[in-house]
Amino acid sequence: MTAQDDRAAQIALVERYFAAVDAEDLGTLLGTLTDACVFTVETHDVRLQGHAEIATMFRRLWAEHAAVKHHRFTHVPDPAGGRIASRFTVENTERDGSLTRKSNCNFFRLENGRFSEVAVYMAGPNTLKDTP
Amino acid sequence: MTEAGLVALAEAYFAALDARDPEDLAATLAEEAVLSIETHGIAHTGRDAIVRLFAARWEGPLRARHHDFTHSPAAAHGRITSQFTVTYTGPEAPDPKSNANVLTVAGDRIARVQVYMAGDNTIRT
Repeated sequence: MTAQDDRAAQIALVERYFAAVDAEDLGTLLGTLTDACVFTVETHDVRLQGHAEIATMFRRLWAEHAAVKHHRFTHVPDPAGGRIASRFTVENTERDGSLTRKSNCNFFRLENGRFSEVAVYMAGPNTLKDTP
Repeated sequence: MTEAGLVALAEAYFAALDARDPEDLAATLAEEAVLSIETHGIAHTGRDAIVRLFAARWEGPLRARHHDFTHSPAAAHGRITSQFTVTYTGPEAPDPKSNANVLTVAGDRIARVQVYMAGDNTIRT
């Protein structure tokens, strides 16, 4: 596999993760994460570990919004370091139909083709809540 | 620029900030560089404007130190991302923050700095 292939594989995994988030597809989403994955929202002091905690957080996100959409990605893949960072725009449709847009950045660490760490830097209020 | 070059450029940028050195800071930035604080909806355009922004901040008693970097260089994309801790000293210094920057490079200088910052905006504008 070439370095270009490695970068493309990292980008594909990130885009599969966000496509699963947008599609509310928990099975595919958890399939991109290691069992002991650590998920942090660095800007809001949130730290979750493992599929159960992360799944609860995403179910809460989906319950609190009519829809979520991640797009306009800028990926910075680093296969040699086992990391990729992705900037993107988040467009959340609130339950009242209004739209909330954010400029976010996620940092991913990979182990054996899955994410072992996801660190989120988020503009505005935290939408990835660890408590109701 | 090589991946080692990207890391060296990022570290030169942060070293200039910590040293409060406007000349060294300017030397890392392209003339038309844009700095945006993505988490706070703020943007500054042009090397001189960015240096003035930091110079104004340096007039205050609060000092910042950037450390514990995790750099992810992507030479093929002309970018490097850096996660780091910012520790403050001085009166009413805030707690340390986990911040991240995405640096886009043109030639041998930084053309774009996109800052993701926890908590309040400490790069006063």
